[in-house]
Amino acid sequence: MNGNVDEVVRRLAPGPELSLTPLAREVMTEIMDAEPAPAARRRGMRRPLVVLPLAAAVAAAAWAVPSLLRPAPAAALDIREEGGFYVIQVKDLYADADVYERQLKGLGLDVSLRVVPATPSFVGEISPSAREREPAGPFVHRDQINTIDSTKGCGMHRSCPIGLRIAKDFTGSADVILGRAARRGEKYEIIGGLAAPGEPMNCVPFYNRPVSEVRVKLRKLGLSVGEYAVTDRTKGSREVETRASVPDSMYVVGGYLSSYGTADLFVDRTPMQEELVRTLVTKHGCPG
Amino acid sequence: MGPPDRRRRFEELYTEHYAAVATFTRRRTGHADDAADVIAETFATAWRRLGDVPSGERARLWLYGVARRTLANHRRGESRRTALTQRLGEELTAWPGPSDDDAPGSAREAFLRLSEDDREVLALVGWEGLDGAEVAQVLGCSRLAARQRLHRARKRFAAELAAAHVDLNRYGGRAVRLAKESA
Repeated sequence: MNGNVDEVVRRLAPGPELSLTPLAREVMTEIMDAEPAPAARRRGMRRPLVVLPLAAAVAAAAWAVPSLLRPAPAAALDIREEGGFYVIQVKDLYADADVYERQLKGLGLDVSLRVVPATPSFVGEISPSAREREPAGPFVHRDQINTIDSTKGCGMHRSCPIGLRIAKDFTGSADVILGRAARRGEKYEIIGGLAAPGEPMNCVPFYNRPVSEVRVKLRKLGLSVGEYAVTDRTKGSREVETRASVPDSMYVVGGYLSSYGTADLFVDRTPMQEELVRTLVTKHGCPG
Repeated sequence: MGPPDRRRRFEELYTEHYAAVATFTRRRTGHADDAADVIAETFATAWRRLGDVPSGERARLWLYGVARRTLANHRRGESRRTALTQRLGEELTAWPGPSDDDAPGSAREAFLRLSEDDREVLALVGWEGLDGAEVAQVLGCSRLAARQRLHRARKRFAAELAAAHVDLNRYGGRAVRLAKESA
């Protein structure tokens, strides 16, 4: 229908189609090298948390700390009313999701809360998402559910949530994910790059260092290497294999905390371009 | 999905959809540098949210949605541009832009007189070849809302074309009818 008007628009198409050039392929590799992708979506998780590349140091402690100070809280959530909103803080970070949900249901809210292990820079991270399938984009109920951010701010592009506000008359449904520190044996679900601000290898020599050197640094922090993802920069950084051990001389080109006490490393026989290393180091807020 | 799988999936996604996303973006930005920033940021978002990217053809619509929002939020000079993105911007400068042969200038002017919202839906159909349901996915609205927006935009464009005395018959009778309907 309306093919004729559409045809006029089509003819107005400003310019021909672009194609994938070798330079565009290099940009692809740069994107993958700049940060690890977040953890895979778990069954039942509607939307994985967006892991921003420029994670700042943790400043969300106010959200997490009360639970550490109170050994046996009566309720998993501390909820008070403020104007037309419920202001919610988590008292017990290790309660079952059902416990949170029951408490929220008690208020007449169809909101689930999942507290998941997060690497250090994402402890305290709160991410609400609508339960109905959204296309990419901002959270649709942001007027009714929002985070209370620390007025100090976290710098870079991060906000620092210290609590959650939900409108009392919120009738939709939503899922909220909150990052907490991992316990022994747990896998991380919200993951920042190893060298990002707030993560163990921030502002220490890491990129392009030999595997042996990085392993020693990690060990001093009580971290062991879980596995090595071997890339091949001569083939556009294509990942060729995952191995339990690699030669000490290989170069570290990235990494992330994968589970409590364990880091996985990206390694390559060829070092990264110095220019890319400088970009990453600057992005991470370290002196170049 | 382990790290190797993620990289493989992203490489496939990028290879398959780079041309579409780059063209979509370049057609909507006046500056090559902005286009390069938005393209890189769109794919960086896809990399971060790889588990969220739908499969098959819907991946392209998802990427359009991200590119659209990235464009809307983009302010020149605010992105930290890497040396590579800078070079991509230079490469995109060579893109020739619109050709005057395809449509009369008065049609182009009539198009530019429409609101941004109207131009957006019309372009998704005319330039990207999307149907109503696909437009809805890119805009993140219901199919009904997308259909209504599209219908109104077509009517307003037909009216603008008629006012500009563009020979609508060149394109067939329906545009004329739409113009009359909206008069």
